[in-house]
This record gives sequence, C-alpha cells and structure tokens, in this order.
Amino acid sequence: MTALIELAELTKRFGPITALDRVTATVDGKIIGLLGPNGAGKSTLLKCLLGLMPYQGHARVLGLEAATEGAQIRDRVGYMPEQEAFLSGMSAVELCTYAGELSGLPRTEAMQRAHAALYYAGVEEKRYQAIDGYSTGMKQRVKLAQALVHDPEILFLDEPTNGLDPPSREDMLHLIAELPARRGCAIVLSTHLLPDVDRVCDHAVIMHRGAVRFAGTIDELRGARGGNSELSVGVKADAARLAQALAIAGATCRVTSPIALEVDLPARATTQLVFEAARDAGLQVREIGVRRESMETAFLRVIGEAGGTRELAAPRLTADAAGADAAGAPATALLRDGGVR
Amino acid sequence: MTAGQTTTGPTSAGPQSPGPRTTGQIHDLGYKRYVGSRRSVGTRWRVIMRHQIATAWIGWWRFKLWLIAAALATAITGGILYFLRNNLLRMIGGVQGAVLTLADGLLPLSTLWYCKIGFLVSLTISATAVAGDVQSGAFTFYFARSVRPYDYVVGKLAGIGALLAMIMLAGPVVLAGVRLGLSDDLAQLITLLPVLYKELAIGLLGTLIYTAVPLGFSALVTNRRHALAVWAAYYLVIGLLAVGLGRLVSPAIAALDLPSSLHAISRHLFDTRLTGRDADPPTSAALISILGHAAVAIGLVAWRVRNAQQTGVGGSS
Amino acid sequence: MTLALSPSLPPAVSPAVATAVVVADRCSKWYGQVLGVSDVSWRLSGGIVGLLGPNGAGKSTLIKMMGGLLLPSRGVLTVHGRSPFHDTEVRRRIGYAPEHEHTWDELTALELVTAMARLAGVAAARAGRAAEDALAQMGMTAAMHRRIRGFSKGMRQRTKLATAIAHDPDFLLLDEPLTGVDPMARIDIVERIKQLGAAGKTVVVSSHVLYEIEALTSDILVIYRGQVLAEGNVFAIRSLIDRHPHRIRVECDRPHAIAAALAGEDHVVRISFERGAVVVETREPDTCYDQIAGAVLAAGVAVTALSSPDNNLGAVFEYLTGDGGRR
Repeated sequence: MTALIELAELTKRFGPITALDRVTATVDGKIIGLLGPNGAGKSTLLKCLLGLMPYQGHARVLGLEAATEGAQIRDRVGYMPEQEAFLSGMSAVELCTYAGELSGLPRTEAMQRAHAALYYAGVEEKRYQAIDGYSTGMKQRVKLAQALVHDPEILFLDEPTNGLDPPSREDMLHLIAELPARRGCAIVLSTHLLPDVDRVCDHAVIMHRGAVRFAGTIDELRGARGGNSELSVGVKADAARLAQALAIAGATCRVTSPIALEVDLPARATTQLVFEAARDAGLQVREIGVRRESMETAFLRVIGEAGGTRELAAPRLTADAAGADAAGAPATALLRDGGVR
Repeated sequence: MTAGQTTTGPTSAGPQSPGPRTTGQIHDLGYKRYVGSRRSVGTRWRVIMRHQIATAWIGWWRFKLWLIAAALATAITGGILYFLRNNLLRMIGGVQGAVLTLADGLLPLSTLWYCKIGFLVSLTISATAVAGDVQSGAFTFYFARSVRPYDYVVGKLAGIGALLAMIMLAGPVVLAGVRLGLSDDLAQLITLLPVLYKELAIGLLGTLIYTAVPLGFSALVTNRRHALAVWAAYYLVIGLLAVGLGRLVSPAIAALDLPSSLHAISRHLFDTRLTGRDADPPTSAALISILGHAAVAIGLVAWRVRNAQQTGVGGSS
Repeated sequence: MTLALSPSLPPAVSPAVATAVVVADRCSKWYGQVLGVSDVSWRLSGGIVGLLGPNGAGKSTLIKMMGGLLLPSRGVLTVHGRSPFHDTEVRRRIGYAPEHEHTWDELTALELVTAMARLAGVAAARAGRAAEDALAQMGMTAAMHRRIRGFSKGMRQRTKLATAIAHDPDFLLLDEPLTGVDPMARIDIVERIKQLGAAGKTVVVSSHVLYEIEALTSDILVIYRGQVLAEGNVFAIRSLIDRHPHRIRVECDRPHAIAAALAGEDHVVRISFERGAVVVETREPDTCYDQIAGAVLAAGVAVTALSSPDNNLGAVFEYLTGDGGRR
C-alpha cells in the first residue's frame, strides 16, 4: 500500500541557499500536523509536492512523482491556502463550481459537488451571494469548500483557523477532525498553533532548517514513555501529604505545586493505589493523567533549541544559517520513522 | 465511502392489496466518491475562456452596452453604404488618385470608429483582467489545481479575444457582406470578393490589438485601477505624441499609435488615402508595431503568470 | 480584581477608582447605524488583562477608544483620568500595537521604531537610543538594521511591539500580537509580555487564540454584542456560571459502574458516555469527586484519566457566549 507522501533525498536549492536538504521521510496517517518555525522549508516542501517547482531527489504523493506528474497530483489533492484566494465578483457556488471544473470535473458534476462541499463547510444560506461581502469566518469556510469540491484524497490546510474567533475556530477544527471519516481524505495541517495539532492530529511532521526532524505519531512525539505508570496527579489541597502516603506505598513522587504532584507507580500497581492513598490520608483527588510532555516541550526538544529567551535567527534566506546547520544535522540521523511503513 | 443505502421498515404480511403504505425507507445521503473520469489537462483553457466570457457578460457596462453600440454603428454604416453608395467621398484612391465612391471608401474608414469602441471595451475587460487576478489572489486558486500557465494565458486570450472579436471582427465582416450585396451582378461580386478577406484581416488585427496589448499592461501593473490608468495613458497620450512626432519628424513614429497603425494597414489593403491624413505611418512600420506590441504584451503576461505559479502557492512560511 | 457578570456599575466606589488606569462610564460608540460598543462601564486597575470576544463584538472599538483613536459617541472613557482622544500628554503614556501590518517595508526596523518614537513625543536626540532599547527588549538586536521587507511574521510582530514600547508608556494595548508567529517565537514573545507586566506596566491583550491569553493572565474581560459580558478572574467566573454545571470526565474500563454509583445523587445533572469514558455534570463538584473516588475503590475500577474538561478559558468563553442569543 503506497504511503501518502514519500520523500527520498529531496533537495531544493535557491542559489547558495538550501531550502530542503536531502530530506527523506515517509508520511502517513489520517490527520498529519506539519510544524516548524518560519523558514524551515514548509512552503518549499509544499510547492515541490504539488509539482510547482523542480527539485532533485524524489517526492512522491499518492505514488505519483511530483516533478513529472504534478498535474495529476493536483487533481487528487486539495489545497486551502493561508491567504485570500478568490476571484472577485463571484458567489460561493460559482467559485466552487469553477474550482471543480478546473480540476477536471464535468460541469454538472462540479455543480453538484460544489453545493455538497458548501453544505459540509456550513455555508448554506449565503452561498449565492458574492464572496466579497462575506465575514472572515465564512471566507475560511469557502476556502475549505473549494478545496473539497473535486473529491481529493489528501487535503493540505494552511493555517485554517487564521483570523477566526473562538466559536468559529471550534467549528473549523471540528470540521477538519471529521473530514477523514466523512470524506475519506487524509489531511496535512500546517499550523503554528501546537494545541490545535495536539487536539486534531494523529501524526506530526516537524521541520527545521530544511530537514525533517520528526515524522511519526503524536504519541511518539510527546512520549508516554513510561507507559501507564508515570502519572501526574492533581488534588484539592495538600499535595505533600499525598506524596508521603504514596511514598510509603512504594511509589516515587515529586511535588510540583501545592495541589499537584508527579507520581511514578511501582511495578504492577494501578491508579487504585492513588485513590487508596488519598482516602487514607483524607485527601481529594481531582485529576489523574498519564504524564506526557507538553506539545511545546516536545516541539522544542525536537527542534533542538534550549528554549527560554532567545533572539531568533534571521529567516531562511541567509546562506550561513541554512548551510551550516543543515549539513551538520542530516535529516536521517534524527528521523524517528524513516521509511518504515 | 459507502454508496447510498436504504433502510427499509418491516414488510407487511398477507396479500398485497392496494391501500395505504405500511413500509418506509430512509435513504442514506452519504458521500459518494467521484469515480468518473477527469477531463484532460489540455481542456482547462476552455474552462477559463468560458469563465472569462461569462464574467464579462454580467451587467451592462462591461460588455453588452458596447456590443450594442458596435451593432448600431455597423447598422448605421451599412445603411449609409446602402443609401449613399454612389456619393463621392473625398478620398484619394489608387495610384492615379481617382476619387472614390462611398461604397468603396467607407469600409476602410470604418476602422476608425470600431477602434474607439474596441478601446472602451479594452478598458472594461482587458486592462483589468490579469491585475484583478493578482490582487484577489486568484493565481493561488488557479495553480493549486491542474492548470498550467499556458492554459491560463491561452484561456484569457481566447476569452477576451472572443468578446472583442464580436465587435472588431464581426462588424467589419458584416460590412463587407453588405458591400458585396451591393454589387450589380455576379461578375462584380466575384471581383469584389477580396473585400471580405481584407476586412477579415483588419478585424483580426484589431482584435489582437485590443485583446493582447491591454492584457500586457494588466500583467505589468499589479493594481487594477493603475493598470487601467496606465493603459489609457499609453493609448491616448503616447498615441497623441506619436502622431504629433510623426507629422514633425518621421511618419514611422506614428506607428506607435495603434489605431493609426490599424488604419494604415486598412488603407494599404484597400489602396486608399484619406485626404488630410498624410501623417499615417507606412504599412511595414504599422504591421511591425501591431505585432510587436502584441508579442511583448503576451510575453509580459506569460512572465507574470509563470512568476505567480511559483510564488502564489504555499504561503509565506 | 472585581467580579461582575452584568454591564451595570460595580456597587462600591473604592479608593481603587482614583488610581484606576482606565475608567469607562456608560460608554457607547456608534458608526451611523453600526454598533461598536453599547453602554460599557468598566474599570481597569492594572496588570495584564485578556480581552476576548467574537468578531464584531466591539473589541477593536474598545481598544481604539482606549488608545485615543476614537471618541465615544456617548458616555466617557478616560485613561489616567483624562480623555486620550483629546489629551496628547496622556497619549504619550499609551502604547498601541494594532492588528494590521501595513508599514513602510523599505525602512529598517530601527528606522521605523525611531520614527514612531519621535511621533510619540520622544525627543529627537533620545529617540534612536530609545528605539534600540525597545528592539533589544523584544529580541531584535541582531536584525534591527535590516529592512522590514524581508522579515518573517514573527519579526514583524516583535517590531510592532517595540514600536509600542519605545516611548516607555505605562499602558499597552496589544491587538492580536501573536498571529502568524511560529511556536518558538510565540513562547518568547509571551515571556516578554509577561516581563512587561511584571515591570509594572498595564497591558491589555486582545486575542482569538484562547490559550495565548491563558498563558499570559487569568484576568479577562469578555465583550459580547457590544457590551461587557464578564470580567475578572477566569476561574472565579467559571464558578459563577451555575447555569452550566461542572463537568468531570472519568476515563476508565467500566464507565457504567461509575455512572451507576452516581445516578442516584441529587447534585448530578447529567451523565453521558463517550468511548471508554463517562462524563458527569454536577452542581457540587466537591461532593462529586469524593463519590467518584468512593465508587472507584468500591468497584475496583481501573481509572486511566480523571479531568475536568471545562475548567479553562475556552469553556468559560463558550458558556458565556455560546448560547446563540437567548439572553
């Protein structure tokens, strides 16, 4: 079974600058988060995958080589851009129909699917009005619809919640989360908002300075390394006493705040131990969960920066920044999931 | 994905007799994947062309008004041709300088007013076409799909060309038909037949001028209003200067004024010369000017579009 | 921090009023027929405040009035006791970083911030130094001599922030300061804003991304349909919304066992099931937690996770504004 995206020694140079450096990775999953600082090479990667620029090496989408079969790929892939991408003076229905026709659908088919896509995206009532008069939220929805019209197998979404207020963000994330089940397409979500990725994605690809630093599941990224025995526990009050009680029972504890502690259970113990210790000490447990890295910590760890206050380096278009690091940390060495599927 | 399924209720036992229904159905309006074929990439330009025409057809002021104006002009000219065909026109015809009848002289003259209407249409349709797309982000829309720069350029040219042809080509051809219809007998008709292809040639060149050249400006200047202004300024101001310089310095410079060039070619084809318009450029200069303008303009469009294909998609990070 | 859930004035006029940074008193702004804000009364004493609200609710209007760009149609809005629209002195104490990004791309960051500092009243001799310091404070020392045209989104946001602090104001208005910023820069800029707050400046931050606000502060102001809907500490507000009982989620191997133990209790409003979990809505969270623990021990249920999904800003916001208009 072909993976969604296969990259093999993918390299792209703009003169002295290396935007993508011998990238090798296999990307698969239902909803994949594409993360990375500005200048990491995400947009260059996308352009290569869509066959919009030449490159060295191999980039295969759905089994098709992007450099030679780019048009076919674009027929089977949908793209929701970050910026505005409309033609003025058209209504949502007209735009989506046009979009469908431009992807090779016959006219009636395109019209039917345009309506279906707009229904899904939640633009029902206003779909016959000109897009120029839409609110930001509705424009984002139309952007999603026009990417869906031609029944794509993969959908690339670029910052889909940009400019949306909290209720609309919720709606959009919900729509995105349901797409694989409702439309049978996989999603690559490019965003800077780590909590969104945590919420919606099952896989992640992290890029930095032209290299893929991580490609795998979110669980692998955040680690539930210790299995179910490493817990974080929250109590109503008096975490220290609970720590003492648990220590007597054989667990290792670390108090992080007056109402929170980290607990490492002994072998073959379950969360029952925590409840028992709390009951015996007369304390109330309010939170239990498997201890995982926060998305931010995991992200920073993968990127390899120490965090804290730090001046950001200049963006990608300086030769020294891209050249030195990209050569020093080849993509394959840090890759978690290279080519094994 | 599941194809449509239906859920049927319990069927009634016993003999089927006509009466109220006792069963029901719920249709699954679930999503059906598209399993048909996709049109080949080579047909995209037709979609773009149709879209361009459809957009121009909306409202009155974009195109329909000018089409009516052109039709009226054609009708009036045809009428004059018919009724006044034997009147003499102060036009010098041929090598010997014989004076022409209206019937023979009005056709080359008509390019003057078709050019005016063509210019107006170029303002409302051609000059904003590419700039509008750049401004609204349409290139991202186009090139994220299986549309090549070639398809876009050809589609735009074909669409706008088709619209302008309705004015710049259809009008003169109709007039040529009227002229042919005025011939006294079959023999004269056959000798007059070249009039048709002459008007065809003039019409095609006129269409090319008002399609391609403003499109080039539209590609050069990325703001719709500015593109419009620059095209109008070039056409009117540079045109005026060119004609003036043509009178003073050398007639070849007047070729920069596109309507003058078209008129020069039309005169050449009909072998006429309007008294008082000695400053028209020589034919070779006119032809080079028209074709040169068009080539540069199409080159600009191709450059802008190729540029946009690479940068438009993918965002800034 | 005052707690109020209605647009009326707070009951007592305390000494805090005299030192309040912003005082809005029955303030309204109309653009012809379009409503900006309607009858807003609010006091801001200091610290970092998160300004939330749906699009079109009136956040930008409020920020612009505080920044002296708009005059209220009715009512009064004062900063440090003076009207920012009229009083240039008090405007010098205000730093405004707008949402939009239109700027002069051909300038370098330093040139831009210096120019804006001079416009804000810093003396010409000192403006250059002030700009450098501001840019350094925002982490832009390395890039300050480069043209803005080549900047990434994160660098532009930092430059904007530097512009807002260059003239050393004590009141900052930041409208969506983190849009488009990558995760690393986000952490950094949040840290720097917190430092500004710790240095004693009053900061109002408006954002749609609620976890950004959460990272900065727990003091919020919610604007809805042009009015102040809620203000104060977010957890205190949460506990006031008794229309929405507390939700507790138990992920375990036998959710129905937990449900059975709780179904007979009066304080339980609703029990619903998800795959592998049970969600209990209760009016008395304290009692409920104890009873859950009892059920877990009595029935030997293996609990994977226990959490309260709605004790955060997103849930508070949704409860406050998500009722679709039944108000």
